[in-house]
Amino acid sequence: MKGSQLGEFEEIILLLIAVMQEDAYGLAIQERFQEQTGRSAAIGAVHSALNRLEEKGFVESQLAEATAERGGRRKRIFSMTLAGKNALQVSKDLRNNLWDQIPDYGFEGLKAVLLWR
Amino acid sequence: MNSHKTTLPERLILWLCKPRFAEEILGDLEEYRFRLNERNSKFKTLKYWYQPVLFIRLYALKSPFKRSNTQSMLNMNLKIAVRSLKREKFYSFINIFGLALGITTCLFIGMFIKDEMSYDQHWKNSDRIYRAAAHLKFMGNQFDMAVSPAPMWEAFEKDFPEIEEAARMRSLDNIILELDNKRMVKVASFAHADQEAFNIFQFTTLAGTLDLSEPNTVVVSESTAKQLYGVNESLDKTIKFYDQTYVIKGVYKDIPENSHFHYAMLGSMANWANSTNTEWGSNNFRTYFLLHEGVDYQVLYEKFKTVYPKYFGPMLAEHSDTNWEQFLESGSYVDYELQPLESIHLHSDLSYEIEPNGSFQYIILFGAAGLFVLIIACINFMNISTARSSTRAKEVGMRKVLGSRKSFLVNQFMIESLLNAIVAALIATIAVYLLLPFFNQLTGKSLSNPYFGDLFLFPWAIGGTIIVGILAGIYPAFFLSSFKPLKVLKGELRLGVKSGWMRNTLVVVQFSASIILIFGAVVIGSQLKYIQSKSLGFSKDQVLILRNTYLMGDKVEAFKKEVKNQPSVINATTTSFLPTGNSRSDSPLLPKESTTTEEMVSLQIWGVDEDYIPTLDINLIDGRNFDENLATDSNAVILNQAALDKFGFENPVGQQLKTINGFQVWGMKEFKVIGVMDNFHFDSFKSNIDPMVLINVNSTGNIAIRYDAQQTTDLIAHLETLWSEFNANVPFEYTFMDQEFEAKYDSEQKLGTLFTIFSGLAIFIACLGLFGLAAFTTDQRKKELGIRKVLGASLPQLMVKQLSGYTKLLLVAVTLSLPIGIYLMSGWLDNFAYRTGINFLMVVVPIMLVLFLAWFTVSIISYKAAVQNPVKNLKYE
Repeated sequence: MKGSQLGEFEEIILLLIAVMQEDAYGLAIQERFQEQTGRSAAIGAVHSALNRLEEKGFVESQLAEATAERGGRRKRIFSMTLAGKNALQVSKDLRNNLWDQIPDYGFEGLKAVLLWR
Repeated sequence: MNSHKTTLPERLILWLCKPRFAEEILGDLEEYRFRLNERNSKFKTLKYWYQPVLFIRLYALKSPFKRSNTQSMLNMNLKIAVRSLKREKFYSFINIFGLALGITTCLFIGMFIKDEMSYDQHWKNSDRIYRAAAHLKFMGNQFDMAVSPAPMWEAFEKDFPEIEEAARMRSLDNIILELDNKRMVKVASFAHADQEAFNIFQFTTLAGTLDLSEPNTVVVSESTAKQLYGVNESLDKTIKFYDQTYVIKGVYKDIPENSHFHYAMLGSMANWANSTNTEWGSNNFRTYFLLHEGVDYQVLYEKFKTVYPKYFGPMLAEHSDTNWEQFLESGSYVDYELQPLESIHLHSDLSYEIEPNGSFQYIILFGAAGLFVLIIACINFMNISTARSSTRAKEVGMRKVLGSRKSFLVNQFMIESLLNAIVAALIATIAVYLLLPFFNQLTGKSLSNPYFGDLFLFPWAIGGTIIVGILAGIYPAFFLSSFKPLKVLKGELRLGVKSGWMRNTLVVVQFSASIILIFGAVVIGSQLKYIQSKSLGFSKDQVLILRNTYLMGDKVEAFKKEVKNQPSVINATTTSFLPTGNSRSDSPLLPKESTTTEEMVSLQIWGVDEDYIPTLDINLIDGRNFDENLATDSNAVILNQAALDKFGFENPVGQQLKTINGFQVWGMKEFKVIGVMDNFHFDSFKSNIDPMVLINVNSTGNIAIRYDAQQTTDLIAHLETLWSEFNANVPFEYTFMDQEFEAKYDSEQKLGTLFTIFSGLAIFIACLGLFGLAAFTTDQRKKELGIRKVLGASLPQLMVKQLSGYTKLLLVAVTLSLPIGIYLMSGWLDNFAYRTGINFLMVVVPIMLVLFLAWFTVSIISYKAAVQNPVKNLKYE
């Protein structure tokens, strides 16, 4: 298995899958991504991320029913695995941990630097 | 399933993406389109198209290394090919080395031919540009010239609506310009041109405008401009030549090498005195026509005939007592041909060409020679492969038993052959790039980057390699794969014998081709030798020529006197006309008492001084030389033998000649014959010596100096000092007459060198193949040799036995090739009016050479086998 790190884009996709549940398939995820982040992503990019997540074992997928607007083709519905949930948790803990370590004046200092510039 | 047409983006995905993703991706794509339609989005087609492109990502792509059956088969074939190459290093070397030589030769010849064929194609509209060429027959004299009369361009443009544009050029080569700062610069080729020439030939303007409509204007090429004042600095500067001052109006990009003219400067036609004359009888201008699109030039050429009476009739009436009808009845004619621009370089060989042209005949000769060499190399592969069939036969038998189909085996052997060809082509490519400078030197071209440059040989090289691979491999492939497995495995097939007749035929073909090439080289060599050693009627050795002496004006005589005072100078003459030069002047003369133009003889009339005949060592057979002390010699002429034969005088000395209808030649109308000289060669050996007279008139173009060979360097130094005293600003230039003479036969020299190289390569490759073949067959007959030796055969007996088989083949090759060779080469010799015959020695030398080389090759192998201890060969039995 490849490294089990989560990239930023992958993390968001994974979170979206968790949020969307039964509705999580390629194009829907892409649209939701655009809604939530205001960034645009190509379907290809989303697919590529989903594919990586599946290889890492964070999501699993099964083919669902076909619809007319898909030209009679079936959707692939993604759902998060336990490993995926753990990875999100690890990522979140890491962030929280780091947030906690920021000293109080950390943000002040940053503001000062910004003003000075 | 919805039945809808698969769109192109969908097909793209199906083609590129792994099948397991396809359905999902295609579904998303379809839905995406559906939504785009629903939203009535802008640029929906573009957006729809954009998406699949983004799917081209590594994870989704099909692997290019997919394991299919055909592919693994190909891989295996390649592997077998490489292994058999490695296993048989000796034979592989012979094959590949021979092929590489053959391909290299072919590539060079291809370059040469492609370059020769590309002449003048770079001009825009080159397919619509034509040059008028004269074919005239006049009182029994035939003229084929690349020139036409002065008024023709305008008259024909008016007469024929097919002509879109017409223009003339009048070449004056080799002129010396004087710059503002008194510096002198030599310009190699110059012509007066009509302004319309720029509408026909699309020159690339670098600076100023190409405008010659005003008198006293010139335009110069880039490299000339650099010699003058600089590309941009030259504009509106002045130059002087022939006592006229000209303004430089424009600079054009140098005319490409592959053009039939390379004028370094063009001047206004208005400055050429004769440009406005309406004389149809004198041909001095090169006329170019640009025809309208879709005009058939042959049809137009036929139409030309209708206007000849209109223009040439009055001309005839004026200069002679005949009219147009009588003129035609007497067998004379006027005919102006249209030469397509692109064909001029290879197909035009007329008098007064601008520069020496190429020759289509040589293209064919080279092409054939190159092909011969390549075929010889291909035959090596065929012969060695089939001869070695015994070693491969068991492999073939085993494969067949294990279920291999014939087509598979054919493929396998073809791939082997292709691999050989590809390796050879790679070596050849390297060789071509390395040897290019030598090739350029040999052919006088300046080609570069043959594969991807202007020549773009790359596709030819690829295609050629594949063809060579297939050609060389096809016979062995079918031969080898046709073995009956049972027979082979039982050992019934006497291997390598079955294909004997085919191999013998191929060997005969190889050696026939080699003999033809060697014979060709020998004949060309002998003709060159003949040209160099034939008595020319003058002595070209130890004559030094100073050009451009006319620039000294009146001081020439004084200069000549000074030159003659030099201790190492034997004699010196001033003249514009030298046998090795380009200046010519012909006019018709007739006996004084003659009343009809029928006795007219067209003659070269050369103005020379009294030192001409002694300086050039020309033999006088009758009468005397000019005498400067005799005032009556001012209209004296000396005939050559050819002129005497034409006039048919019994006592030539004292005869009087006159011009036609009071025409002035060299300012005179009547001449007196004072002597007759031997013919001397002033034209190419390709034509007979024309009638000529020498006339005692000053013409100051050159000084020719006969010197004492012991003191050449001293002489040149002295002459240079002398030159600068008389002619300070003009660069000092000298040539030797024998070198100028050699240069005239430059293309024959090149042909000779190339044929020597080709024939050397051919016989080398053929012997290489023979060596391989002999090595193999001798190896096969080791046991036979051993037994013979045990039974008491001597070494010479064994050798003779071995050699006799090949000797028979060689003799067949000799009998086949000699008639072909003699036929081809006597055809070539027919180009020359003065030529060597094909003699016994010329036939025997190539045969002996080939026989000797072949014997030598086979002997190396058979000697090694024959001296071996028979025990070694027999002990395993």
